[in-house]
Amino acid sequence: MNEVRNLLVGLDIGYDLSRLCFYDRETGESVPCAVKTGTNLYAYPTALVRFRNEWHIGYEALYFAGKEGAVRIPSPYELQKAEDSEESGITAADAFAALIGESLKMLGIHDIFNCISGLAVVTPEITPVTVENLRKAFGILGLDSAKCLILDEGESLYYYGYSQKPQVTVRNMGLFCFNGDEVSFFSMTEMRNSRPAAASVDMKGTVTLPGDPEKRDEAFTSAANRWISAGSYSGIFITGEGFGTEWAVNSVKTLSRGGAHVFYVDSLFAGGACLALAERFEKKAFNGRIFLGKALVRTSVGIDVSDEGRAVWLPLIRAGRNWYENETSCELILDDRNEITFTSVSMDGSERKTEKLFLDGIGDRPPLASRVRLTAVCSGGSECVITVRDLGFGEIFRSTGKTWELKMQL
Amino acid sequence: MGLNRLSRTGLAKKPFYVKSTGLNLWSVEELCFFLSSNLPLIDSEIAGTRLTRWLTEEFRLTALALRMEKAAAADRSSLSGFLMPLFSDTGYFTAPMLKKLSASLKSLEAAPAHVRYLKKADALTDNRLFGEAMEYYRRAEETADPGDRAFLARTAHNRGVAAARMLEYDEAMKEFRKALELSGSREDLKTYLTALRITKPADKYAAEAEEAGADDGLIREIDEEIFRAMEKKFPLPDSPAEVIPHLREEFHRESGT
Repeated sequence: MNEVRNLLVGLDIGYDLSRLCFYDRETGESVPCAVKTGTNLYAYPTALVRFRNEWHIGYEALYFAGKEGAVRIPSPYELQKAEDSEESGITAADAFAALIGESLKMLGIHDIFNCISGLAVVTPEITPVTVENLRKAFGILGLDSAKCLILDEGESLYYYGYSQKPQVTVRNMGLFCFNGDEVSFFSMTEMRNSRPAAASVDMKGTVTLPGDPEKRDEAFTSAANRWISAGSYSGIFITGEGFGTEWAVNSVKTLSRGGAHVFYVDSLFAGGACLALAERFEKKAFNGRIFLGKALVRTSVGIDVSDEGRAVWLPLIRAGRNWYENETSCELILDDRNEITFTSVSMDGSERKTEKLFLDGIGDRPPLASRVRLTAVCSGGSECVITVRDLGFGEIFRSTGKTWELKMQL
Repeated sequence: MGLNRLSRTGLAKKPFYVKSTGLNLWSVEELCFFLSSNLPLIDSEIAGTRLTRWLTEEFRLTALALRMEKAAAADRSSLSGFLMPLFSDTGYFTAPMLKKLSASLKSLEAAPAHVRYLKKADALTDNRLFGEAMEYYRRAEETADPGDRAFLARTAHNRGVAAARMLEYDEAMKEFRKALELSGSREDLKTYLTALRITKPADKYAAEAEEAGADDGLIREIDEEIFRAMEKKFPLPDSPAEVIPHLREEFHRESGT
């Protein structure tokens, strides 16, 4: 592989299968990592065992579980349910860390952790629990959290799609996602008349295909026709297990009707993940475009402050960022009232409201003699929690140790 | 209502120690608050290269430190020249506050020695450094014009307040009496009689009040103020044993022993 330093790595941890890609700066493309060198086998089971004090994942894990009697550990998604964690004694964060750590070793680079300048993990479910466990896993592995991204499949598709050539992105893009006999269609559209241009991914439908090749082709053709005819597509991607060119004879012709460029991409989500890293950390070519995903926060929350003598509005929660990437911490010196006023503004600026947090019990101090730490985090996409903690004022006024909390709907 | 200030500089790893008050300052904001509240206490021990070095090492405010040092080199006697860049650059003060600070600093620099000693003594009293405050009240009295009765009365009154805060009531009474004799003002009479009321038996108080010519209105005013002051609740310690070492430390600090 061309890259051996400053690697940007994308890892798709699915419920059943995982995939790994890295970003090739020479070609500007994502490169899937084969499970076995020289093969086209890119997907490996999301399976994990601990055997003789070593972690094993994927096909190796299945081997040790099947032949050597090793106990298979539930997937991190299963471990996130409390009862599974108590049984196995291994937390979901440990399982994520093992999966990520062992997957990275597949790149075949000595001292891999010092060679990584960015890691993006795609997960099928972005919940507060999953985000927390993944962040813990990054910590367990010693990875700098500033260099790690978490994405869902929709956002990964967004980065993958819009990293393609202009002829692919000029109109809508679609994705057929196979999972055995089931296939789902996702349509990615862009509202070009808005600034920034907003892209979104919507699921249009799911069908179960018959096993017989001819009937399968016929059923897929029918479903594809139904979904694609509703829009105009310049790029269509196919991914997942269950698609085969040996049976999809007529359906592929259908897909390319209307001038769409059709691609089968085995590791699309992992590829989208490392393209996301390339875009956000290096290229920054997506200016003027935003992804309206489910995790996107659509309301900004901030406060009016004096910053080095100038009155400014300090955003604490920013619209246009994913909720799990929206966290701010700062320190304020309170002026002449023991309260802080927060203003929330919708993304389009049409709605605005204020809420006050009264700092009861902070004590009788003169103006400009109280330091407080303010932290704002999103607990999901619809609510943010603001915590204010009294830090006192050095030895002049001791801290009361009090904290105050405000929950704001976004 | 003003705006809350965003703190960009945070806390220092090592504090700036103010020897005269025994206080450690951990942030630029604490420094600004302390200096602006205690202008008369600022001396060469505080306003010098030790301060600019602290600003550079702890907060990387190199450009500000250089400006302050340049101002000091140009005019060693000008406190306002040295401090105003600090006050204006940090964004801690509003424009009206800066104007007031600048005027106060210049006024202090231009004041004669006896006035500066009195202001310093008052600032030391405010910081509960009574022992050192007494020394500066003495200097203020010695360097003042003996004919300046108003100034001497004020000095005596303030010294009395410091003595009272040290629980040295006889000393306080002596000073309040002295202030009354110098000024003959109603305010100084009220102060003297209030101290008498609190510390002496009722008959002694009544006799002194009559001798001093206090009217019923003043007597009533004194009683009401004392009553209002006693209505305020003071927090009690959970355990006296916890409080005594603290009180002992405070006593030694305040008396300068």
